[in-house]
Amino acid sequence: MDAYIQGILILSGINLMAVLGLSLLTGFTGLFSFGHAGFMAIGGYTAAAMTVKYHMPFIPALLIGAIAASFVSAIIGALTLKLKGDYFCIATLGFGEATRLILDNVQYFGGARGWPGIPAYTNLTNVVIINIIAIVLLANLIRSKHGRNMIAVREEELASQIAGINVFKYKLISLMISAAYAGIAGGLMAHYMTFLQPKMFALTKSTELTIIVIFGGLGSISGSVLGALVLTSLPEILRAFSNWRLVIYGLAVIIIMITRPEGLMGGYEFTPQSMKKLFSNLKGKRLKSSEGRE
Amino acid sequence: MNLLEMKNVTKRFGGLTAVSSVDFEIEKGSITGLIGPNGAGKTTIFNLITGVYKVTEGKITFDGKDITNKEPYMIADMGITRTFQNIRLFKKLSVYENVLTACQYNANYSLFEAMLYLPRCRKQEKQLKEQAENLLEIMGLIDRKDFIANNLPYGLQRRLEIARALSLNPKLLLLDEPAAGMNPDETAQLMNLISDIRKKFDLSILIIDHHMDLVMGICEKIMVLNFGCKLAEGTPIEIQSNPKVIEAYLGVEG
Repeated sequence: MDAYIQGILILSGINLMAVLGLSLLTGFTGLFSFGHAGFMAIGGYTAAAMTVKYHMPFIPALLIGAIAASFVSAIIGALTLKLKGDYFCIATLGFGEATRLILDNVQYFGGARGWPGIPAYTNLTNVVIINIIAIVLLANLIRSKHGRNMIAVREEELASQIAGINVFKYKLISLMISAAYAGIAGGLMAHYMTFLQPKMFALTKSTELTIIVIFGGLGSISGSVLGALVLTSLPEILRAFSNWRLVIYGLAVIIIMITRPEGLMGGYEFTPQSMKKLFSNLKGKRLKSSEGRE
Repeated sequence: MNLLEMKNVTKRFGGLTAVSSVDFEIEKGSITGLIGPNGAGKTTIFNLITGVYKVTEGKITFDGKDITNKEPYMIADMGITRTFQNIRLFKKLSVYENVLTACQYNANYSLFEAMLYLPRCRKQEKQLKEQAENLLEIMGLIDRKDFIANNLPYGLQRRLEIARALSLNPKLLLLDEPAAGMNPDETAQLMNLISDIRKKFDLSILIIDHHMDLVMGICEKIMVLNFGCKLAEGTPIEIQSNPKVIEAYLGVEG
């Protein structure tokens, strides 16, 4: 395959990994985060430290990165998830920016100049495999009672509590899994770019992830997959328009939000059953319209 | 035997005393009514029992255990659940999903078993789905299983909220104005439903309502609240002839 296309696919896959995590938090649990780039940074720097400084193999390094991100998210969550309203969102925003500023000043990791020489372990094969595993685990989770509890928390907090759901616990679990996914995405990114710089994990990265989740449709894994593929490759496809491409990107997002505020998939999933249903509906419509003509 | 006991329970919001040293018992297996003029503190009592509000003073025990100031989800796990005056369903989910979400009192598979979809998770999920369908069958909602909760007619939304509460397998069910907005016909249906539920699910019920024919018709005992204080307590006949109750509802002559 063309190295350029491969590169775009790898980047989409890395974004998808982070978006899947954010989708669980925002789409299924109803919590907005503007600090997921921070979790990516923690995962990325930790994984890179494991491979560069401790010569660890790639996969264990990624997992340690995920655990580190998850651990930090647990601390943030324990402190802020009991707050009502938008305070959690603001806390994550502060966390993301703080993480970036701290990394700017840690000379051990190269500080603001960046950290070159990370081994290039990430390739299309392992990105695809990791993403498939991530999607299967997430889909299983959401279909289970634990997933239903998270959706219940999104829908109506008070009623969830009365139904015996520990709202705080499920918010925290959702955040921790979400941060672990972002951590793996960070690790993949470090070993693809072979270079890390705190600037890569600025607020724009967090908002990009949130935009993808909303663009794809809140509460839909298929939507997140579609959103990550479309919105990561769109600026590349539009490269011919040079400076105008980001304007077109912005327009595409605005148009989707106006014409389809529930996002591309709007809570629906691509599954064999749903496809069957869709096709039989289409067939039914066609039959009806042909009957009408006679 | 008393299932629920409230001893000297007081709730203050700043300077306002919403409930003032109320003593109250619910007998096991009974249907009890809680009535009083608007703002008397009826819903506050529900919120205190279910842990939504914290008690300022006093003690609430359920089934011999102290539940004062426990978290709502713990109290739900112990067997108290409720419906709300302004219906609170999971609006965007289907009827089936609403009940299935609450149906989980005997599913204990872990998060990891769920993510890997291990046998224990599969088996318990199957049981939960059967339970949810059974319950919808009993409550007469099975033919609307795939409707989105928000699109149900009002009466059925109330019924679904009761179904969701029952899926927790509660020992005590609190109904907050279940007949609000219903016509006499629907109210009569609801009365039948409530007595049916008590028999089938072997539970105790506490009802707040302003429909006197409903409350007087099915409750064995009634407590009257006024301005946060207990005004009277007794059988429907005693309450109807109690001069203090008549005064609170209709005012004094002359």
